[in-house]
Amino acid sequence: MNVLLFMIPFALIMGFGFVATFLFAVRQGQFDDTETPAHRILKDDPSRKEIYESKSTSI
Amino acid sequence: MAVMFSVGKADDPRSMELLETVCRHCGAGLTKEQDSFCCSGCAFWYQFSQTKNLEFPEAFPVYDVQGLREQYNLNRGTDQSRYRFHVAGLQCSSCVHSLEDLPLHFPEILHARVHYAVSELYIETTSEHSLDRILEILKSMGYPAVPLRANENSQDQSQKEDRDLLSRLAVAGACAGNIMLLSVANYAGLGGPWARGFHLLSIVLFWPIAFYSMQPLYRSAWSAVKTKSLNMDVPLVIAFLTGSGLSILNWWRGQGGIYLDSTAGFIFFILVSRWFLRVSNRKLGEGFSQSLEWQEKIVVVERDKEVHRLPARELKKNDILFLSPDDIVVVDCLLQSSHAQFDTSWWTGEILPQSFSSGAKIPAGYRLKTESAQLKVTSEYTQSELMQGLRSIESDGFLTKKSPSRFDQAAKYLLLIVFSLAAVMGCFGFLLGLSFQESMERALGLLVVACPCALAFGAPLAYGLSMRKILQAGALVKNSAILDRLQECNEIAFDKTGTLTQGKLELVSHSPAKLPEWVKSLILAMEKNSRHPVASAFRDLWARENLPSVTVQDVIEVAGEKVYGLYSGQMFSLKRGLPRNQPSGLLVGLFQGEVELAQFEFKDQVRSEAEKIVSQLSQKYPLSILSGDEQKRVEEMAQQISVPWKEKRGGCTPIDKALWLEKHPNSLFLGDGINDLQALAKAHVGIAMDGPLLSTLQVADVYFLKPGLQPLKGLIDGAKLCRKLVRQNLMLALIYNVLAGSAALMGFINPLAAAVLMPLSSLLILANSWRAAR
Repeated sequence: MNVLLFMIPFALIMGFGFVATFLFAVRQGQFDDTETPAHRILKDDPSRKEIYESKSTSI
Repeated sequence: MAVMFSVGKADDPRSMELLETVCRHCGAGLTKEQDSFCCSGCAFWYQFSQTKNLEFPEAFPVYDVQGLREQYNLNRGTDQSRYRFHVAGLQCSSCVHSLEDLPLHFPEILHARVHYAVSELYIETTSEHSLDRILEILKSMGYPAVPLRANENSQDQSQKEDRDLLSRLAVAGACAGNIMLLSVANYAGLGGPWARGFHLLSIVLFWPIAFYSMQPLYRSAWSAVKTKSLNMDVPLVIAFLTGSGLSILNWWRGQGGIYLDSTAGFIFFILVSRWFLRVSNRKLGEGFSQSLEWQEKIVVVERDKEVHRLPARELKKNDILFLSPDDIVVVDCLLQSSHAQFDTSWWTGEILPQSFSSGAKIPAGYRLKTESAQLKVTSEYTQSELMQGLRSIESDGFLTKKSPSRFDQAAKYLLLIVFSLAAVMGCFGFLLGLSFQESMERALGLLVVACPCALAFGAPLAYGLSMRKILQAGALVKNSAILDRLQECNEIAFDKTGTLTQGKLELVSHSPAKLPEWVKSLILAMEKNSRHPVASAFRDLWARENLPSVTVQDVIEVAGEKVYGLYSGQMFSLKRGLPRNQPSGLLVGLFQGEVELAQFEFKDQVRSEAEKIVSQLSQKYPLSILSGDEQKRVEEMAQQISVPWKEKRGGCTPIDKALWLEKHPNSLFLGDGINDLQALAKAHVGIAMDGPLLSTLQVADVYFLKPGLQPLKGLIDGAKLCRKLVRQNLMLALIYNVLAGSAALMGFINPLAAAVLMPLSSLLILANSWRAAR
């Protein structure tokens, strides 16, 4: 049973590490908008890359 | 390469006939309604990729004056400015990309971020920028935007509350989860000092729930107690305090009956349901006053022989107002110029501009269609006919009569019954010959096992899921109570222009059937600067064809009558065509001298999907048309959509429509925005197809984010689904509660069973909801 003395505090620390991370993310505003990222990810990257390249060469 | 999959564009990805074509820019599937592009953003960037031209008309200074722009800046006093806009016309993923790509092309824009769910756009700019130019860019892209004032902090407030609730929810979830894990060992038979230690650890973990997560509930319960009223939170807090108090006391005395796990889990589920309610009821336009967005609109006036620029709300009687093309009249006026044309569609539903001569009354809401006009102000901003109409809507109490959702209340009552039963059991258990300890335990067992969370959870979950589904179909529902009212509607009335029809002219036929290219080029060149609906119809049709450009000299437009100009030495004109056999639309002819070379017929077409949707609806509801347009045209359109119309009324003023709806109390009304505001407010459920979103939503219950009638079907189906789901959920919860509750009262339920049953009942409700809403 002694292993529990290590396991339980360790599990709790890990668990609350995650809670802290979540709270940090909430404060950063990562959950303010849960809809737009789903649209954002559908964007094909190459076209953006092309535009960047064309822009950097023109400058 | 074009991607053949639809990215959430077509309304129903399963019906393949909708996916015949894809957007030329982003490759999203197109519906039948759409031509070449899925949204205006795609059309804009496609055109850019062809022409590499990012020139915009010089923006008329509206916001870039004096200290005004700073009032909209969210980052005051820094190098970078930050603005928040409300954007109309967001409808798909490509819109998000189109707007967020802005920084790539405009050096003054550093960052653009769309908040899709609430149709908002945040833009960060360098110190060298013009807010008017940004607005002009957004407008050219097809996303007309309104900047939102920086001091309107209701948004920040609601965002803060969102984050707060989410944090409390997360803490409660983590603690409750860990407490449950620890309890499993105890239920499974752990004893001795280890059990005591585990319980102690549970108590420690319980601390954050009691002192952090529960705070909003304490506050709301306390304020209810103070005002001697009862809300949901009072019994919840009492149950929580007795449950946790008794558990800790029992632990202290070294006895069984420790219910911390159930109590914690119960609070977690309650907070989850609160979160759901909050998300699904997120109010749009919160903090906006009952007015249109025009009160801050900067207008040019002459007052005491001096020219001023001031916001519309500061206009006074007898000021002289100068309008430029496409400007909206913001107050009631008298026309001073000798002649001008106005788009009156907001009031009358008529799409052709109307001519007025000096001395005519021009009410707020008209839009100038000629080059310039000078008007004398006859009302202050708040006293215009339009504003008075809006106020009457408010003061007549139409907006307040709408009660909260019935099912929500049913759930509340059930919850109250459970709590009262538990209280009775706890206090009067001795009458059944039970010890105090025993009756307390049974009461708690009832609370735990009867799991009010299944009750508290079921209805919000059903509403939340249905609202989400409806939103995906393209309809924005203001709040969940509207879903109940939708079910009560037994009649549907439509506005005509812009609702059943497109609300704009379209070329329906031309003779000769094949037009030479030079004719098209010539017409486009002649109509280049015209604001007449016919001109935009020509442009919509031909602007994207690769036509040779031609030069027409001395183009002159006689507003509302004709356009003429010189082309290769000849005089050409576009004017009313010579009538031929029974035309039903507007005839326009292209004349060379006096010879008619070509003739075009224009019509405000019935929306392509209207017939199908209307005929489906006609099987269940009596349908009527209420239109401001002439009776003749209403009849004509009623014939085109051949369903048994119950009433076909033309020539209705906005008040007539409202009166009709008063006589038919349970009707659903679809209108297209401002000119239907009174009707939208009177209707049992008012649906706005178009119009400035925020102000329209002040009175309308539902707003269609996608053009056309398609969202209507999703809306009605969603409301039906919601009702079914709420019933199922409440039924499940009721059956479970009656069974488990009576078992608990009779003392048949031991702590382990209670701990297992409680989450099971919640899971059952969750599973059922997801299954139905898939």
